Amino acid sequence: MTPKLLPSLIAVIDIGTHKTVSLVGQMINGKARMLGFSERRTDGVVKGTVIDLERLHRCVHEVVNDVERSSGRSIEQVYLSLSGPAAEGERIKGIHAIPAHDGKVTAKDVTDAIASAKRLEPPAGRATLLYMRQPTTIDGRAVANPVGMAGKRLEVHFWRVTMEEGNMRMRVGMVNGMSIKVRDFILASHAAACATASDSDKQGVLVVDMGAGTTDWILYYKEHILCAGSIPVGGEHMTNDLSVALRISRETAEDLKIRFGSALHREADANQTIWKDGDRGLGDQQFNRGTITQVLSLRYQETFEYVKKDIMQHLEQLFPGHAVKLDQYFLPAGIILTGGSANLADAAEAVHAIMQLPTRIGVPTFENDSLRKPEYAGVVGLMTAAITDSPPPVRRQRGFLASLKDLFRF
Amino acid sequence: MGPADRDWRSLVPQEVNRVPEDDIGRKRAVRSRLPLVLSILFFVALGVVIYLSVDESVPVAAGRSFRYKTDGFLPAAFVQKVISAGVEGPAKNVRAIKADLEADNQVLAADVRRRADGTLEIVLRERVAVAKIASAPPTGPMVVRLVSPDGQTFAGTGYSEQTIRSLPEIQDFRSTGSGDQLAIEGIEVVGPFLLAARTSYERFYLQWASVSLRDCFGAQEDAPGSNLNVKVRIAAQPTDRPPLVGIIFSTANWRKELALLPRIKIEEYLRMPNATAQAYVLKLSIQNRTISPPVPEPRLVPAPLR
Repeated sequence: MTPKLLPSLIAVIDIGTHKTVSLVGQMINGKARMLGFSERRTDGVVKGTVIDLERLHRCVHEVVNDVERSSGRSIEQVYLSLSGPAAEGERIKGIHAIPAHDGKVTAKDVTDAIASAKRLEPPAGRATLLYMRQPTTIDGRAVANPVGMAGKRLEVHFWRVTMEEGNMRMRVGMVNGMSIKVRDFILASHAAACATASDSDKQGVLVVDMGAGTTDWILYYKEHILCAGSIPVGGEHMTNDLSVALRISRETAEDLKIRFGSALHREADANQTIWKDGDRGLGDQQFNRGTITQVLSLRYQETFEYVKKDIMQHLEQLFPGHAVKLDQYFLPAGIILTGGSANLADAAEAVHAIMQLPTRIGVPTFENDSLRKPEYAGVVGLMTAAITDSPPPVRRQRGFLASLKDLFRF
Repeated sequence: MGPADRDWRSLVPQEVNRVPEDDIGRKRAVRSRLPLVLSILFFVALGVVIYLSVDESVPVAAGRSFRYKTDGFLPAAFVQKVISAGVEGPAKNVRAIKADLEADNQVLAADVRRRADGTLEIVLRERVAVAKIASAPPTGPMVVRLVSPDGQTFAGTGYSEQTIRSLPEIQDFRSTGSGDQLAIEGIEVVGPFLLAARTSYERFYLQWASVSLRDCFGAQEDAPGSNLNVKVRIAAQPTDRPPLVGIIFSTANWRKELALLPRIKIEEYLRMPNATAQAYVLKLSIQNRTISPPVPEPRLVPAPLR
C-alpha cells in the first residue's frame, strides 16, 4: 500500500524597500491555500539596498513570528524573493553534439547539455542563485522537448541570475539566524508574472513590478523568460520629488500622492485646488493638483523610459545586429503593471502612452480577497512560483503523535 | 573552486541553530515545541491515570514482599498480618489493603502503592498517643488503651512498656462504647491540652501521672468546677522539700496557664521556710472565680489531707 502523501508547508518572504510580506500556504486540490499572512513596514533597506542588517533582521523576524502565529505552523524553510539591481541576469547556453550513430537526442544528451551550460563560470566574486529555463534548440530550431528528435547540435539556454557573494551570504545568514533555511530564491519579477500573467500572455508580455525602491521587469516570449532586469527607481522617488517640489514632508507627500496623485498629467488638473486636510482650518495647506500630477507623471515617464532603455540594452545583447522593436507584434499581451506604484491613478494609461503598448494592472489570482491587489502580486507570485518551479517535497502521512500535536497548537 | 561550486547552495552550508538568537527567536522556539511538550504531558497524565486505576484493583501477588515505612511504632509484622488476614489473604488488591490498615485506630492514613517490580510500598502515618486509659471491656480483664488528641483509642501495638508507663492516665472520665469504638466525654478539651503539653512543655508533661476529668464538666467552660486536675509524680521530686502533688488548670484558660507554668519558680517557693505543709497543689486560676475579692494567682496551696 502506498502511503498517503500530504502537501508540505510553503513559506515565502518578500523583502521590499517599503514593506516585508510573508505568506504561508499549502497546495490543496491543485490550489494554493493560504494558512497565514503577515506584513510589516521594512526597516533597514533603502532603494532595494540593505543599509542596516540588524534592523532588517528584526523586522523580518517579526514578520516570521507573526505569520507563524497566524498559521499555527512552525516555518523550517522559506523561499526568498530576489529584486533590485543586486541580482543580475545573463543568458547562458550549453551545447552538445548529438552522436552520429542515429542522430536522435536522448535524455542523457539533454543532461549533458545542461551540465555544459552550468559549467560556465559566473563573473568573479558573484554566486549563482538560480537558473531559469529558456527555449531548447536543435540545429537552431526551438523545440519544447528535444528527446527523441533528430539533429546534430543541441543547445539548451538558461537565464542565470547571479548576485555578489557577500550580499548573498548576508541574506542567507540573516534567514539562518532565525533557525530557518533558505529553500530557494525566486526572482521577484518572475513571481509577479506567475501571479498575474497566464500561459497565453507569456507568448509575449512585459511584466513590470514597480515597488517603492526598485522597478523590476521581466520579458516573456513564447512562454519562456527572454530577459529580466531592474532599475533602482520606484514609488519612493515620486514621493521624494513631490516633497521637494511642494516643500512638504515626505509623509505629507506620500499622503497627497495616494489621495490626489496621478501618473498622467491632464490640462484640467491645473484648475483644481486641493487641500491637504480638507477642513481648511489652521495649518491646512492648499495645493494645485496640476503641480502634483505633473511631478508624478514626469517621474513615471522617466522611470518607464529607463525601463525601456534597459530592455532594449538586454535585447541588443541577446540578438546582436537585430533591430528588435517593443511593439504589439513582439509583445501581443502588452504590459502588465504590478507593485505598489501600480495603484497610482491612471498608471495603466500613462504606461500605455509612454511604451505604446496595451497595458493593464496586474491583479493576482488568489483565493483570498485581501491579497487581490497589485502590491501583493509579488508575494502571491512567490507562492505560485514556488509550487510550479521548485516545489518542496511532499511528506508521508504523519503519525498519531503529529496529529495529537495539532490538537495543542495555539 | 570549480564553476559548479559557485552555486549559492555550495557556498553557504546553511547551518541553523535549533534555538534562534534573539527574544523573538526564543518565543518562536517555545511556541514550536509547546505542542510536543503538551502531547508528552498528555500521555504521561494518561499513563498515570491508567496506572493508578489498574494498580488499585489488581490483586497483590501472593508471596510478594513489601517495603514499609511508618512515623510511629507499628511493626512490619502488623502490616504482614493485615495483608494476610481475611478470606482473600494475599490476593487482596491495593485498595482493600489500604482500607484494612486504616481500620485500625492507630493508623491515621495508609499510602499503599504497587512498585514496578510487583512489590508493595506501604507508608503509614500513625496517631500520636498523648495519654492512656484503663478500659473495661464487656468481657475479660481491664485493659490499657492509648488515647490520641482527637479522642480515638487504640491498643498501642509496638509501643514499649516504658513508653506506655510514661504517658499520663486519664481518670474519672465518662465514656460510651468499648474497644475501638470507645468515646471519651471531655476529650475535646483534654486532648488538645495534652498534645500542647507534650509538644511544647515536655519537661512538665513527663512528670504528670494522670489527668482527672472529674471537675471538667461544669455548666459552662469557665464556671466553677470546670478544671483539669493534673496529678504530678512524687517519686521524681526531691525529698528535701514538700512535694508538688497536683496542678489545677482551667478548661477555658489552659493555654495561657501552660504558658505561665515555666515562669513560676515552684522549686524556690517550695523551699521557702514557711512551706511547712506536707504537700502542695498549684492552683493556676480556677479557684479564683469563687472568691471575692480575687486572690492573686497562681497560688501554691497545701494539698488536702486524705
